[in-house]
Amino acid sequence: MARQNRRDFIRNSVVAGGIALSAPVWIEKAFGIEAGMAVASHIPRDGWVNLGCPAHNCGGRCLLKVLVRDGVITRIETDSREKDTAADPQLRACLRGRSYRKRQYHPDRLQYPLLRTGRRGEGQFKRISWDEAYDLMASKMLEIKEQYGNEAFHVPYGTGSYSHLNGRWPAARLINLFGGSLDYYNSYSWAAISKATPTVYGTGVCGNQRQDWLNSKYILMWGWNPAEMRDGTNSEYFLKLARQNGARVVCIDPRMTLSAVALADEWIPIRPGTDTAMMSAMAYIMIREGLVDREFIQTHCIGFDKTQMPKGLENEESYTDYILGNRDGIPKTPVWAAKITGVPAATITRIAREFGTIKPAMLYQGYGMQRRAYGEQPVRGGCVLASITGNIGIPGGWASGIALQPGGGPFWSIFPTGINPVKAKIPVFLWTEAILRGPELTEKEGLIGVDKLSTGLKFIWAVASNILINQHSNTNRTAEILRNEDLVKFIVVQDQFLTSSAMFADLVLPACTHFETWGLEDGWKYGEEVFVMPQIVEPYGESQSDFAICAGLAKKLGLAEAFTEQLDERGWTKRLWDEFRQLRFPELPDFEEFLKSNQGVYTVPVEHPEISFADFRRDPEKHPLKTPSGKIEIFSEQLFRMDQPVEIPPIPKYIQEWESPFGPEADSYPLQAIGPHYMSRVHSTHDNIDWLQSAFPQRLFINSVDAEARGIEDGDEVTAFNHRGQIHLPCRVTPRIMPGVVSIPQGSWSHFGKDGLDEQKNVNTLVSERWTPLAFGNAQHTIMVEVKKR
Amino acid sequence: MAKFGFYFDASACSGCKTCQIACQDKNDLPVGIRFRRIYEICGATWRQDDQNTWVPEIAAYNISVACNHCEDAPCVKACPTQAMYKDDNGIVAVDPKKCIGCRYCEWACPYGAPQYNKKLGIMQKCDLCRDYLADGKVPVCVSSCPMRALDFGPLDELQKRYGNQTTLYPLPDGDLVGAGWVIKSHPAETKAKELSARIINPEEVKNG
Amino acid sequence: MADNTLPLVIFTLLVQFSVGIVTVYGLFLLFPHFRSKNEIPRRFKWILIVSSAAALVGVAASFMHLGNPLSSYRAVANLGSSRLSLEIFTVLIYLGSLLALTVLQFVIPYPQRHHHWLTILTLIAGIVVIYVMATVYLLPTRPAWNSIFTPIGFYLTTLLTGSALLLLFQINSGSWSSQKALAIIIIAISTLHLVVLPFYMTWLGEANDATRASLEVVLKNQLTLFLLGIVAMGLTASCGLWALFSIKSCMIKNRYLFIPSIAAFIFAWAAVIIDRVLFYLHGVSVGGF
Repeated sequence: MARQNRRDFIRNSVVAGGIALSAPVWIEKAFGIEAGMAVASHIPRDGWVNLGCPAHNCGGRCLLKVLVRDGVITRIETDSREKDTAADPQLRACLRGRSYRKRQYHPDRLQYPLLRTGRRGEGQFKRISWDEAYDLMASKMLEIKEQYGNEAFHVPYGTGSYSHLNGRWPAARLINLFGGSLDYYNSYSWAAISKATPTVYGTGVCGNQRQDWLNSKYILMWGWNPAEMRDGTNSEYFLKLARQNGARVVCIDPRMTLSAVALADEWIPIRPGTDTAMMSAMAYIMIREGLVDREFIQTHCIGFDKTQMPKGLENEESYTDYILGNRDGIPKTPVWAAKITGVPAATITRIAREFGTIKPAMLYQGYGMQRRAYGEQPVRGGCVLASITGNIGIPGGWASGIALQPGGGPFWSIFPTGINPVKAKIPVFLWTEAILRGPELTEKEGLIGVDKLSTGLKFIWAVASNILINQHSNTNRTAEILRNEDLVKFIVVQDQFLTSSAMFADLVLPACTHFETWGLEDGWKYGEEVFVMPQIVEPYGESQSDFAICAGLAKKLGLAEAFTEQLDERGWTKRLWDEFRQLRFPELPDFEEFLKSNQGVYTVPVEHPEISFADFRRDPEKHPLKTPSGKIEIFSEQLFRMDQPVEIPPIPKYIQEWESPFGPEADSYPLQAIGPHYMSRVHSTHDNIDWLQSAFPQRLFINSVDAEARGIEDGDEVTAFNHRGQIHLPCRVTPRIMPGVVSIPQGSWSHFGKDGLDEQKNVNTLVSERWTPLAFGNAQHTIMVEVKKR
Repeated sequence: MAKFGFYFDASACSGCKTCQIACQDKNDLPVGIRFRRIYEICGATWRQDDQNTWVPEIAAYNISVACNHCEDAPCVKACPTQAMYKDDNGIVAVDPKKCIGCRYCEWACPYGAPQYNKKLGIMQKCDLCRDYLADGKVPVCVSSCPMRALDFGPLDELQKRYGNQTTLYPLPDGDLVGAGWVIKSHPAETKAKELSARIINPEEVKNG
Repeated sequence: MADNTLPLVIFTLLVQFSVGIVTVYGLFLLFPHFRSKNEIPRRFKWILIVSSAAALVGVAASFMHLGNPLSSYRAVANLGSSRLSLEIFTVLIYLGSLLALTVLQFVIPYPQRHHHWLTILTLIAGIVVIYVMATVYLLPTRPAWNSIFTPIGFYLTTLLTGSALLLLFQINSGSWSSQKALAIIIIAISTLHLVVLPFYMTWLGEANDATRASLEVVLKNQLTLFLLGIVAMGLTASCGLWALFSIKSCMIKNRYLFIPSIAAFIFAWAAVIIDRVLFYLHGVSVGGF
């Protein structure tokens, strides 16, 4: 921790509100008010405060216990409530939350607005005042709206901040008040899985509350690594409890992940992108050996075999037809699948028998397997396997797919962004297409809401987002696009650090951290809680909350009233808190009382976990699914009608990826690369925290078989490359990854050299911008590379 | 006064290192000093058959070690200035006024517990968060673990609850130094021995 | 270990060198056949200056490896159980005795009898120092060091460096028998080094995983250095042999005799420095913890 900056920080805090602050504090002490209480919203607390951990897109929502002394955070601990049961477990933070002081007081934090002076990407800026920044931004907004209309605006995908009040939501609200912007649908996390799951179940809410996992006897963790990316605080802990309850756990994953080590009885390495082949072979065994639940299939599914095809489509290829090879002459046997997946046929057969016989069973799909070319197929494939084994709507079962939690919530954001007057929406991943050829986009590129766009994107306002450069595919390509000032006229990046995206901004606005403003958060995908996040320290330098920045801009645009509704951050937090009482938690205490109690989190214990489709299971006639047939659509007529049988088949099929070890590209680039989430980062957040980077340094993970063949030893500097670019980084030779596969954890910050190319450690430099056929999603793990010693 | 110690469940440890970071935060440690270290143990052979399938024989697990506050602590014996001492609670700690930073304790310790602080020129190490003991709080590493793989308490209570095991391959035999902890093996331990598994993340645990 | 390795290499080598000088000289005291009545005592002062300087610089170097030398006066506090404490204690005894002896040479010249006893005391203290120094490294956590090979190696280094220096002193000015004897000692010790080496390496390969890892450090990571060390030790023996034949063949004053003896001195030092650096580098801890 840089002592100098910390002193400056303390000095700034004290100067900024010293006299005003200290008086009430002494009054507090004089009147014996207990430590931890705030007399007014902007006064920092002194003592231990319980509050939600700053909300990044980490997969967890945890409780922090923060020690504040003289307006400085000096220690961070976590939930230590007495109870720690399955029904109401402690919400323990991981190393990313625990190291937050290093982020909070990082010497590189942005202090004031910056105006670009050099070319985009060179990172040359000069300091300007907030007034100048607002004036400039407002004038540019009005100019571009005048010239191009609101469809030229875009507030890109950004998940760097998720405190319901901060992040891109206030920006979206303001832009909507300003006339709207080109909106997006889908996400970088879950494009294929959120589109494909409803094609089977009519909804994405097909999961169970996690306490139900303790009822399961067989858990296939398919490309799922909750111990590292958390997938909801405590998911890995629930699995531990499930195992203690007698569940057998098998991890199917190209890597022996942190989860595999701690939770699995067996690790089965599989080639990335071949999951549907293994699923098909499992179905083959189950069909051949009579391990499918015939009765359930009959009453609850359609499309399994020719006896239950949709009306008029009786002669189309059914699921069984595909599996047995009745039409294409290729029975999807384990031997067939072994060549593709790299998993021995005997293993596939055994797993099929295990999954078919041990009841109840869970097939949990991780998100890496769907974030790739044809990612929709393994999603549907997993759902189908769950269905034909009858693991739907029963305790200990799991419908697979995106499996959002039933019961209403949690919510990613309940902040009212209002109605977007612009009706056009593009898939989230295609924003670069909207820049390059906006008016040419059609429904073939996933454009909805309008037939054609009137303009390309001209104004980008990225808030809490590193999408512009770091997290989008093919960073060199994106950089070239953004450098062109004729394409995008104005780029604003609002962040806490000068990220690689911020380097390409025309205007950089410093946002403060969650400790420095008000907000609240609830669970990440799962959970029955809501956290309060009071302001506990003063914002650093001139940084402001995302909300406040938007409010300041709104004033310039004459939209202040409409935007703020006369509430500040604290006011909005209270309002959203009350909203939660309506939405989910009728017993939620009064906001002021709750703050006084210093509880930090309100939880509802789960004694009887809710199970999706329990009603449907009991009575499919009375409680049909929201699918066209009312049943589980193994064969989807909707997909069939799209008439793209090769890339969007109506039944789940294995499709060889457009970059795979089986194509001609493998001659030059024989290794599959994946870019998984890394324990030391949340996407690209925390890449500059030294404690975290020393615990998990950014490296390329490679198997010793591949390393030896290339003369590479553990710790060597290597170059990973393909025709899109190259990156240099140290390597770790490990047996915990399948030969033929290398892992380059995602989120490492890009940095462009003088030649304009990014050769740092960012995997996205090597990734194609091509999208998936159904969901228009990011196929960000479909990468072929070669690796050589540097 | 009761003697306190750690319990570590290797079968539940994912290697997430939250315990390491929690400790670094509480003790304001510079990068490179780890009162608690997480060692990644791994051994494997990979076999490829003619179907182009791959089969691993693999054993992997993690060992999270801070200090075992040994009954017969070799660091206390080795220290020339008696800076390293065992207090009334059985906690082995460093007196910073006496330490000369000769690093002999570092050589003597089988677990890598004493850490050399380059800036201060003295040794530092886990002290079982003894300032928390008085308040009845457990060490931060224990309360931090997302997998609940760590526990803490009077050693005899831990032994009653979890048994007497003090060694896990490839750690040296804990009984030789009276290591004051209880440990539970990972199921892969036998296989790890067969495969001559060893530490594969030395760069993440070495001092400085 | 990289930070404090160099100071420890310097410390151990220079203290061993200092003891070596006094020890080998002690042999001359015990065997008067090898000296004439006057010549050694006349140069005894200067031999002691070198020995004292080496010991002082060595001890100073040992302070360099401490992170906090200001408290180092406490370092003899744990004589009961700390071998390091004992090492420091014995080194101080030896140093005190050696310095006293050196000073006395200038104040009250030889051949006063009490010098003889002080010399014997210094000699014994030196021999004890080497032994205690070796025991510091007999740690169960560092298996490669934890064998009889460590004290053997230390003593061999002591005798080799000491005799190499004394040969330089004796060339052309000492008795032929002393010169020959010193040359023979140099040949013998360096040859013994090379003879013991394969036994040591075999033992490393067989004892346990940590010693095997230590062997790997030497043969894989430090192969070049290792081979250079062997070459240097071999050249030491050769130069010793060369010196011996030169001495034997021309039992008259001949300035060319300096050449083999200086060469022997340089190669001996090269060999022991490499040997000591490798000693520290290959001290792998049990399990790697």
